[in-house]
Amino acid sequence: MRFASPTWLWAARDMLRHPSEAILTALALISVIVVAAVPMLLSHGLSNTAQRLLDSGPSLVVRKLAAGHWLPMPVEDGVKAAESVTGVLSAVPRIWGVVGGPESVTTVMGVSESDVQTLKRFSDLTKSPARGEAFIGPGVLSASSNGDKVEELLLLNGQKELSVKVGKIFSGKNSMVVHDIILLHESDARKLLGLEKGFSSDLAIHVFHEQEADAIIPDLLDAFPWPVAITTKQDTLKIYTASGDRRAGLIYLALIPSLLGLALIVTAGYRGTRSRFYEAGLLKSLGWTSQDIVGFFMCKAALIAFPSVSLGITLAYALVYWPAVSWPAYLFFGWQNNPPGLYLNSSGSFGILIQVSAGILVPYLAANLWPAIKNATADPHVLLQAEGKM
Amino acid sequence: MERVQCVNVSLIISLSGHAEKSIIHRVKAEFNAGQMSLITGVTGAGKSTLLHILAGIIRPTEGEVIVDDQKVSRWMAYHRDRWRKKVGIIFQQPHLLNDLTVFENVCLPLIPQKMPMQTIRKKAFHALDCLGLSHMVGERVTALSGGERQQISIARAIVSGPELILADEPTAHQDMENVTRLMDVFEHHKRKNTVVIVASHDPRIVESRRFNACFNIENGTLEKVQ
Amino acid sequence: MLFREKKWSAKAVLLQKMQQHSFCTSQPCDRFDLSRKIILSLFGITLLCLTLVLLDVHLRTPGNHEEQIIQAINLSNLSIVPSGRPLRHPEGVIPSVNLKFSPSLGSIMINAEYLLLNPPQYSKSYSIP
Repeated sequence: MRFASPTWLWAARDMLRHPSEAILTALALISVIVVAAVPMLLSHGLSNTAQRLLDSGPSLVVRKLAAGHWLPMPVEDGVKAAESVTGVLSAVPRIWGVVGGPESVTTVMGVSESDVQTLKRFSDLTKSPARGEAFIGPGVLSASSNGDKVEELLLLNGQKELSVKVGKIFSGKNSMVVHDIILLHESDARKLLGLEKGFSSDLAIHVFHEQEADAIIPDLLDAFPWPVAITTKQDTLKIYTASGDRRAGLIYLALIPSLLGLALIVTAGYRGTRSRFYEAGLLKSLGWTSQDIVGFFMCKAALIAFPSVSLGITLAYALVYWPAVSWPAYLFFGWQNNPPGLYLNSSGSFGILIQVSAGILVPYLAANLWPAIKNATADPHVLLQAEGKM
Repeated sequence: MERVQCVNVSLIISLSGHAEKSIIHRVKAEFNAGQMSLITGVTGAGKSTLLHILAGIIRPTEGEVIVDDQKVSRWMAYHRDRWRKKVGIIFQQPHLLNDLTVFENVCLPLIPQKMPMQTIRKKAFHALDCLGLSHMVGERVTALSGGERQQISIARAIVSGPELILADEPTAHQDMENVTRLMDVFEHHKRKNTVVIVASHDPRIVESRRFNACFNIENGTLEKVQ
Repeated sequence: MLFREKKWSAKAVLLQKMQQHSFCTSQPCDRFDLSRKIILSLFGITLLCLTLVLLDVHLRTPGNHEEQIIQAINLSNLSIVPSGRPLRHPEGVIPSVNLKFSPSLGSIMINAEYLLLNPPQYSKSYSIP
């Protein structure tokens, strides 16, 4: 008995007197916490992770524009024009496009010789895609897992049809980056996308200072001898953040019933404690002070609330940050099957959990504290007269 | 505690309209430590109300309850709580919590007393044992007779070693053996310098001749008869 | 001395009686032991949950493979949105064509994926450029 004072023991004993009430309250609290915390964590995790990952990507993407459609970018002229702008570190031509894959639409990227050297640095990539070979993301073939079906042939439908052999399947841990991406040899990609030699899909531009990316856009527009459209990293990030927020906003619709749930929990807590006036009167007659009675009711409320909130936040955290969690992509990003597993960055999430917990705990504890104080400060004679009215 | 005094204690309650009724009328009495006092009177005479006033459950509308020169009836709520800690009260109705066991009901007054649970258990067991109830510690109170329930409430009143014991019809539904045992328990506490006040009109108690002082209450007016 | 002996013997009798009764028998006379176990369990659950979350938040180290891949192939987007959607390829959206698209409005637009997956004859797909 050294681990708990008699008041706490009595509070736990009191829970055993009404176990179903305690269990229902706990379940309701857990549900409300989960519904409230998941959208906030998801939104936070998505924007955090997108920010971290895209920091490694190009600052700007430049595409050649014609009236109502895109044009292939002449590599030599484009790179020359881009690199003539002060502040541009490098301009890299990209060969990519969206083609029909074996199961759904996929993104194809042509890997140039210079990319190959970089790709070879990865421990799990010992070679670059050869002609007729494809390195595919884990989501390109839904039935495949890492290392399986490497001999399978992929039929891709772009400007032309192309059949390639699967040489490598990226690890599921890279899902957020290459889930439905197919890396092809540059010549295969050109053939598939109908892109002639000397042209690229666009230019990826790296700048000296990330903060200056927006500032050099006018210079870049001037530098190119043809109309171009420029997308910045910040634009892309805004899309992710806004998209994540908008979708998370849908979950907030679920907050309406959860707020009603919280209101019911608070009301039930209030009424539950208030309806104990007879017992409060009896306890006062037996020598319990007002402080003892308030302490007892608060101990009981805490015994229910704190474990429930802890369980709730853990559940919400696991739902969002569990490695390779795939339900958000399935539910909010339009994946029909085989959605990518998300590996979200959880830094800063504890603060959100504290906020959500406080938002639930404070009204619940207040709903128990107020009637407990009212009970405890009333005249015991009045309280005792309530016998049988419970 | 040396003595408990009632100085012109009155209780007037408001009825419907502007009517008022005097329940207790200018009661003057003195109850000393180490003495056992009996208050008799017909049903409705005001015995229970007087005990409730002494226990700090009801505040008198006039007069004072003075304990060792302190006007406890005028104390604010916080201090009245402290006063009630020193009182062990046996209600006319047992007022037990039905979904608890006998033992747990007896433990109730000890829970907030900041003592280890093992001590609480020992004290509760001892109180039950004094009244010969140790065989029913694990019983649910719903399974007990009226007399047994009253005995449990007596054990609950004495478990914390109170300085003032107030017993309201403690022998209701009790056989002679239990009455004798109960009087022995009160005697025991009296010897420990406790103020014991029993309100009863049970002839077995009235004729027991174990009381140091006897009062009769009639229409709210207390009169010392012995 | 006599008083102390008397007190000791009274204690011994009480302890003997307590042991004879339900403290040690199968039917418990109170549920405080169970209550204590409940408190310990609830405290344990709370502590475990908070520790797990805190540890995960602080010890989780994101792998750098993803960044290296992005760097190597100059990716400007993530694979969170399926291929073919403007949200996936914002650089592929033609500015002169109003797709009712804006970062703040989201994807209220032609469902490219549906069109790509359900063409009358699924032989070719659009590609950029």
